[in-house]
Amino acid sequence: MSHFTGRRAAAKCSICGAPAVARVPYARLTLCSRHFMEFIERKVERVLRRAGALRRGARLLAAVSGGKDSAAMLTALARITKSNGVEVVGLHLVLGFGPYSRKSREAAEEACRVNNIPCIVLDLEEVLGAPVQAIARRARRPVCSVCGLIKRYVINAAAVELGADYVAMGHNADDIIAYTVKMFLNQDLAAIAKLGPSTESIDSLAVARLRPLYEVTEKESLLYAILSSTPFLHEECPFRPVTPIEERVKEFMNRVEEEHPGMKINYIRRLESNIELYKKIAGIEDWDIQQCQSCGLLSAGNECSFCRLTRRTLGEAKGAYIRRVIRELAAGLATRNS
Amino acid sequence: MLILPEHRITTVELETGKVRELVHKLGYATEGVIVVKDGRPLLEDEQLEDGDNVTLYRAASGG
Repeated sequence: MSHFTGRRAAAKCSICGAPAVARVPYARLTLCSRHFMEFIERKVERVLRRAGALRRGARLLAAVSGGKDSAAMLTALARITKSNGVEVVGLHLVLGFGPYSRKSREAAEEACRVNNIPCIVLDLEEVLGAPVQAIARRARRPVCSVCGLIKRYVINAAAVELGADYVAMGHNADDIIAYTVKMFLNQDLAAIAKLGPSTESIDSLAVARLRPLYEVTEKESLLYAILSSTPFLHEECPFRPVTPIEERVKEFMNRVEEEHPGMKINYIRRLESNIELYKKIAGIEDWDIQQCQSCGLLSAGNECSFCRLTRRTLGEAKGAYIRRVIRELAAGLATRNS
Repeated sequence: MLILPEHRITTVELETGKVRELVHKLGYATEGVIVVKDGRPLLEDEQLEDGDNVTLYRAASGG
């Protein structure tokens, strides 16, 4: 006769029987640290393989904020690309948001260092001559919108100057769901077309984007960063709105997911297969691709939004200057490597 | 217990003592958080003991 002690034995990994650290209800798996990490790496590898990024000699520029997602992405990329001959370079942008930015930079550099990935650091306040929030104030626009515009521009410019084949962004599955639900609520269906797991390069104007964590949920990304001991900063940006719509969507989806496991992964997989449909709605083939007359990168009109923003708020279009600064940083990196 | 990223310290009284109950009592979904005890992430149906000191990471922040 067995004695009931009131305590259950610790859960075991479905694969090897070691003590479990994660349950993955939608896959009906309970996993130990090693097998959870492999589960996540398989998802990341699938995105890279489908985009054609796992080829010898490919160069991948990883945007590293210092948060949990870029930490998880860096470690997964470092482990996957090791045997494929793919080069990974990190890029961290210093936003000039006081102690938050200082700690973010330390975490980003540390995450690159432990993964043996070179890290390019660009101080935006230094190169633009004003902090991001001051530019936003002058433009009379929300800080997040201006910060996003500047980051998108500088990351693409850096990828072009470094001759990268892909830019890897740390958006996780919950981010993608939240962005696309918000776009749907705004009936901005054309914008959804840009949120697939990868986008195409446009010769010398824009570098293809890759979202390695496309099928990795926010919780999985955080757990992977913790289990892999990758350094990261778990803090809110001081300029984050009190409750952005995206966070409300995430809270709602997490409650639904808890009651109906699989909702999020099904959403993300169907979104992936519907991206071509959204591209048709957006009429992407008919989009007029132009070159910015100030900096020479991708633009929707005569001058790109970054050059227009900096011309209006700083007195001159800064695109060409930013490209030059990055070229010099890239040359420094090449010298260090040789 | 400690809640991150806001660094809030609080004490919670539980009936069943399960991690899931702790998460729900604080108003979160288990899908949105990770509870760590002595450096080890806990499963939702694990049992906590009286006086346990845990850290709850809210996933939907930072990063």
